[in-house]
Amino acid sequence: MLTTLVVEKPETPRTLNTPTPAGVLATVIMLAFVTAGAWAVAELKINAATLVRGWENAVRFFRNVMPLDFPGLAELWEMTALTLAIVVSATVLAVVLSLIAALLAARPTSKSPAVRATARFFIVLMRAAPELILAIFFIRVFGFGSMAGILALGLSSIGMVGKLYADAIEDADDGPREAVETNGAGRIQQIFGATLPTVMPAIVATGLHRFDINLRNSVILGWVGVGGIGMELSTALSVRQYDRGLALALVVLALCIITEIVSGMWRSRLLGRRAEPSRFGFLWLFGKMKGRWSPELLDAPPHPPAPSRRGMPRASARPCSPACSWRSSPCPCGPPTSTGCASSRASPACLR
Amino acid sequence: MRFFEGFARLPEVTARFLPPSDGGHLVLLLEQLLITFQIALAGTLLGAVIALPVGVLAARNVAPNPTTAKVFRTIIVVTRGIPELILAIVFVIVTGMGPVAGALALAVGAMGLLSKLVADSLEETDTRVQTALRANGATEWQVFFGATLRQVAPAVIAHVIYQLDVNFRSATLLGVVGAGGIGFYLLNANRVLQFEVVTFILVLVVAVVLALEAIAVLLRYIVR
Repeated sequence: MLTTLVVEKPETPRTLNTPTPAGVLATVIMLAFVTAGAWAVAELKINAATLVRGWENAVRFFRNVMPLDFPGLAELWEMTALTLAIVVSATVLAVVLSLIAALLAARPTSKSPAVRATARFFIVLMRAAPELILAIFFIRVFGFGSMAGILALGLSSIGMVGKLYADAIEDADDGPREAVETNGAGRIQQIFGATLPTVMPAIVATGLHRFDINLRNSVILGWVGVGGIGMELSTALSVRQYDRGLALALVVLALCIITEIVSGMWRSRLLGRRAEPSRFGFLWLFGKMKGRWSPELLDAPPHPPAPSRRGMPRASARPCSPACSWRSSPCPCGPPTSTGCASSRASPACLR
Repeated sequence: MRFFEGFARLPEVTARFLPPSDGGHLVLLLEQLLITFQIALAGTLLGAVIALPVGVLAARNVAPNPTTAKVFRTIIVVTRGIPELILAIVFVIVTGMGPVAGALALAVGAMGLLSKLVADSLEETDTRVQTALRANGATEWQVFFGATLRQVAPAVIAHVIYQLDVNFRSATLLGVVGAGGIGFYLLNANRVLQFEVVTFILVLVVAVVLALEAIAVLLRYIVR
């Protein structure tokens, strides 16, 4: 007896998934970006010929400019001190104002939703203000000098620093504050007795981080009349003293590297392994050369399992991936959720 | 004392900045805004083209050997240490004033930041997927394109758009030192005391930044 076996021809399995509309849209946007980028490169005439001409220019230029004209030590010290004074004052101002704004914006320390919303709005508003335009404005108000620079840098810092402080307060363990509250402490006592000591490392670390950024941003303010290295640099360039200009640029570069190393060292001491390695930059190199730190320590993921809040385990301790984990030491995106972190909240902090 | 005198001047000064006005140069300003945007685009694209391979080679779980990863990490670290303003000044001196200097400065800056973000995202990928592919006999290239790249694509897209946003802001500022674009006109408006034009430029820049942020949010929502 013979049975006939009907063999169906197997369907060829799909090796690629059917594209989703969202995927197609994302592809289209990215293609549009690449096309626009290519068009911009062509439109601006960035091509081999330009680059070769630029290179020839550069060689000729560096031959002419080569004995760099560094200013005298006293003069150099004076302008560096002025820049550092402006940046330090601006950072202190930013820390104080941000702390007030953050205390008003954070859930544990501010009970009224209206006050919280107003404070958050103020912080976001400050982020939108570019320091250059603020400096132009304040120079009209207070005249040429350091005051305009301090206010411009200080106020524009609130956007980032205030947001990070508010998030640090909300992410911190609220237990001590509740304990003090239960024992009858007033609002001010709660803040000074429990909230501030808890978040102190984050406050100082974020302040130091912002100091680095403010130093970099302070240079451009010289073009609109704020004193310091930036102003000397803009003067040198406007009268085509390129040897002096390049020397000052090198001074700025050195200053940036030194502050980055120093503030990175302090931050790593304050936050221990939580200090994120990305902004370390030169400290990372320094450590490698010294061989005292193992690369694993400096390269350790910035977010170890976070301390649980009120004894409840965190939903996830995954590092918040979108765009900004490099920018700040505590998770700047607010509490991580199972999908990484709330991305709508992610970008504001990153944009200084 | 001067501080308090300043406060007395506050309303008067505010009045000079408002209302925003184009000062009769609307077409010129829009043209310069477009150039600024082109600088940002070109800087991001050139930066991304360099940053992707550099970032891939700097990720320890993807690089062919640990030494390569270390070398490229060092390159990234050094690049990131240089302020963009300094780069722009050097490029302005070298290639002359104009948008090319700005685009090249931004490209170098973007390379530093973007390759770091790419490398970090690559290191965050779930390595079990790679192991599974490898166990099934995939070659290293197949593992890279089939598992690593697939996992990291949404993050890379988000980083690139974010970089475009950052670059546009920087491009505005770099114009001040002569790297082309609207920043130069911002400085000029300030010099000739046309403060309502300063406000107008601020409004233009903020509008573009908001539009870019909207695209970024949309993209992040799509590719999540």
